[in-house]
Amino acid sequence: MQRLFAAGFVLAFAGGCGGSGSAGPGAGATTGGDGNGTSSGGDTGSGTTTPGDFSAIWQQKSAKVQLTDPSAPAAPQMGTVQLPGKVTYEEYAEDLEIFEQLKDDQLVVYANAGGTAYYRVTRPALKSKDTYSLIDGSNVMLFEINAGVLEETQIRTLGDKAAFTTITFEKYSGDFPPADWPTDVVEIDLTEALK
Amino acid sequence: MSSSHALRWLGFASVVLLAAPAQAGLADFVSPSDCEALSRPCVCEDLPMMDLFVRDQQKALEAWRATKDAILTPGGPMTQAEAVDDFHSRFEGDPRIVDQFESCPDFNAKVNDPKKIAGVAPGRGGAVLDACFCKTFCVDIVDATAAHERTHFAFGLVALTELMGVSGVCAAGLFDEGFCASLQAQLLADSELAAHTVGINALNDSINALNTTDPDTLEMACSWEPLPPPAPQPSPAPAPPPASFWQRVQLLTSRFVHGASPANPSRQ
Repeated sequence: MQRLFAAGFVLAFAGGCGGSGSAGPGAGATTGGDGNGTSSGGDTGSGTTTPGDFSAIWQQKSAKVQLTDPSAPAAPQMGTVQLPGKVTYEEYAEDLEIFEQLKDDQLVVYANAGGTAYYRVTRPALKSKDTYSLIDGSNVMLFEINAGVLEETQIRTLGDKAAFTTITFEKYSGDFPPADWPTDVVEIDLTEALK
Repeated sequence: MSSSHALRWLGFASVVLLAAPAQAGLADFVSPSDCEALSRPCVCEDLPMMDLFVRDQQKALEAWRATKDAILTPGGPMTQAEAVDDFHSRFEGDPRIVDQFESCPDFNAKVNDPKKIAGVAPGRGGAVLDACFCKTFCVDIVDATAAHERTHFAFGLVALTELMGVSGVCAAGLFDEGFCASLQAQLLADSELAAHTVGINALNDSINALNTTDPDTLEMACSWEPLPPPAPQPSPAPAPPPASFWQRVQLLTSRFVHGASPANPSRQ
């Protein structure tokens, strides 16, 4: 799996399926094995902990994942990861800095790959009173503001297995786009592609 | 945030890599705007090739749809590489498109690969294209291809935001390996479905516009005949007929009388 999923995570795990923290850029201390899926260390990002609403600019900070398998329903596989501020395209040797925003009826993803323009990718999101939701086939993503912090809950099914993920975001404060981003923007709307 | 905090996201990269299996050698490719400048407006006489191109894309879309369905079936593809193989077993591009690409005046078989006409380039506006492709196809085909590649990038970006957590846990080997591999294979198929859909829609819009109005004669619509079918491929030489009963009797008789022939040890 290292070919497909390399790691630079600060990692902790629960669920008894083994594994250890991985080396790599941004990797920190591994705290796993406490049975609670908790973690510590890692990148804390550049944002602050000030509360925000959906329309703020958010960056993913951590994710807690649980995989259920009907053949072993009593022993779900679980893990928690701290998410770094940048991800790297291995093939292109380019870092990607990514932010998200929920605005009007869209999820907006901003990304800078270090080129002459940054990207603003949009996809439709269903807005209700207190939530935004996205449904993509059998996958469901639900966004909520809890105590001023954006949280995303996902249910993703693959065959007879399901992954439940809770992502906690951190609010970005400061001018956006950041000063070190290019000023030109490439806009891509995925509405048509995801129909 | 420094790059030392970068997460090496091979999972996403390999989605993009295989979704547009042409990343190697992209340095010589040109940006979509430069490609447009090398191309030419689509006119009525381009319609047959546009029709052919969009039909080819539709066949590819159907092939990817079948591959996606196969991913979750017993014995179906379980990894991205297997998904690509499955797709290629279902789809073969039209040789007339390759012929037009190879008609490029600068065509060099060592540099210009008909299987690598475009690719994803995050640092260069999302897409890059082979200059020979730009020179030999009209601009609406070029634009549809650039839109296809940009969609791969955007889809991968969204998938990245959705799956950072799952991928991180997979990276550490904490999840079932089959689940993680299948997830990647399905993402690849989904990315291909999205990219082909966007490219096909863009080109269909152009075809409809041309069919509605001839850009050279605004009061008329285009009416061009379709391209002739590709030349038949030479069929392989027929297999030698099986030995007749009488030949086999002769062989056995010969062996009985003279012993086995040393020149044909496999028959001993």
